[in-house]
Amino acid sequence: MKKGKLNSKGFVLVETLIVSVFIAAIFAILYNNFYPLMGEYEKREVYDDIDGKYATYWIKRIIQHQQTDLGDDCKLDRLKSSPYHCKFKCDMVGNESMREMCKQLIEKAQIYVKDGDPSIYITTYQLQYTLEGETTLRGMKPYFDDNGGLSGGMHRYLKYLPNYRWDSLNNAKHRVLVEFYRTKDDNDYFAYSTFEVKK
Amino acid sequence: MKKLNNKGMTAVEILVCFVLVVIISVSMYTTVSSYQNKQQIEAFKEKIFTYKNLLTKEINDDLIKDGLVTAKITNYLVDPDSGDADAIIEMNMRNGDKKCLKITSKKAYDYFYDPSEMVSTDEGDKPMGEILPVSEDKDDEFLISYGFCGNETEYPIPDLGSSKNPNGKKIYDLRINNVEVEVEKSLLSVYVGFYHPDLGTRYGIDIVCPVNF
Repeated sequence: MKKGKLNSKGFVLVETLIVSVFIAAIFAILYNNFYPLMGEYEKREVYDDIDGKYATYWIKRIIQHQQTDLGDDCKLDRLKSSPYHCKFKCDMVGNESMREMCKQLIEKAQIYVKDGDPSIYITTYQLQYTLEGETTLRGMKPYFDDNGGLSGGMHRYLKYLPNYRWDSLNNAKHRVLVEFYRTKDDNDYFAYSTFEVKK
Repeated sequence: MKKLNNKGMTAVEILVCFVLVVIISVSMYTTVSSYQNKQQIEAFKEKIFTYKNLLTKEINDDLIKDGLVTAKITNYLVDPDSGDADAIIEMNMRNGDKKCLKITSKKAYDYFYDPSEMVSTDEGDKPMGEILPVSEDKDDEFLISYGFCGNETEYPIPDLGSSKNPNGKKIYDLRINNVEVEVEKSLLSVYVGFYHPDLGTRYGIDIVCPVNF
């Protein structure tokens, strides 16, 4: 049997304390990094909720309708260059009764209206893309990363959304993004939703 | 024989360790209990979401797939004092189906009801128990049913706990707070707002659908 003097002194209190403080510091760093994720989760509760999704579906149907003329600003060629989006208005709807329904829908679905304009954005199906042989990022996402004009909540929602890099299975070329301002029952919060549009 | 270190720890070292353990335990307790509370609220939210999503999808799927041709409110009573509401909406679909949505909300006198509290009226001060007599009080009753007219499926709102008011009537924690039903010329809108003491009025069922679109 090997006979040698073993180190049996153990740890001194200071050593233990240093290790404890080190571990506590690691936990504090981890906590600080994970805590904002919880806030992020709460924020995402208002992204694409079921009420918003169905209301956006009806907006998409109105946009897709043959009597709706989106005008030159919303043509696909135009949407592929800066500012990569246009705003939808019920005035774009040709049929009078449908136009009236569109206005009612905006009111009842609590779509946010600022200065008379509903917060309904039409853009390309892909929110961020590059052209072949180019490195410049194109689309609504990079545009609003560099330019203002979008509410903070909508900008965060846009950043949260995927780029939709691959083509739509339904061959949709457009996308609609809607901002809701929920005030029923003394509520006061914004919600966001999106849908592809086949125009 | 090898000489062992049998000095042990001094009283000061043990005391320092105990103090550290106590400090850590106390700080952990408040954190853990706050997380327990959060977890419970999240569980409530999940139940409300499941209910809301199921019912909203059920109705909207019919409205989209079958196509809403006409909608008619056959009954819509809202008592402004008690907040009780009763609504029936008949929906005729393009495929000939006739679907009905029924909303019933009957509320017991709420948490703040105190029969002995004096309330001033035109005829002088009266105890609240006389103004809101026990005989008119009832248990909370909330129900939403939807389906083919005459054969609707009941969707009772989730039970997230309950208590009793001074009259011994049942008050659910999750209650229907607001019922708004409207059929305009070309749009049907139904809003059923919920109230929960921990979640407020944030969650509700909100359906909008164009008529004959």
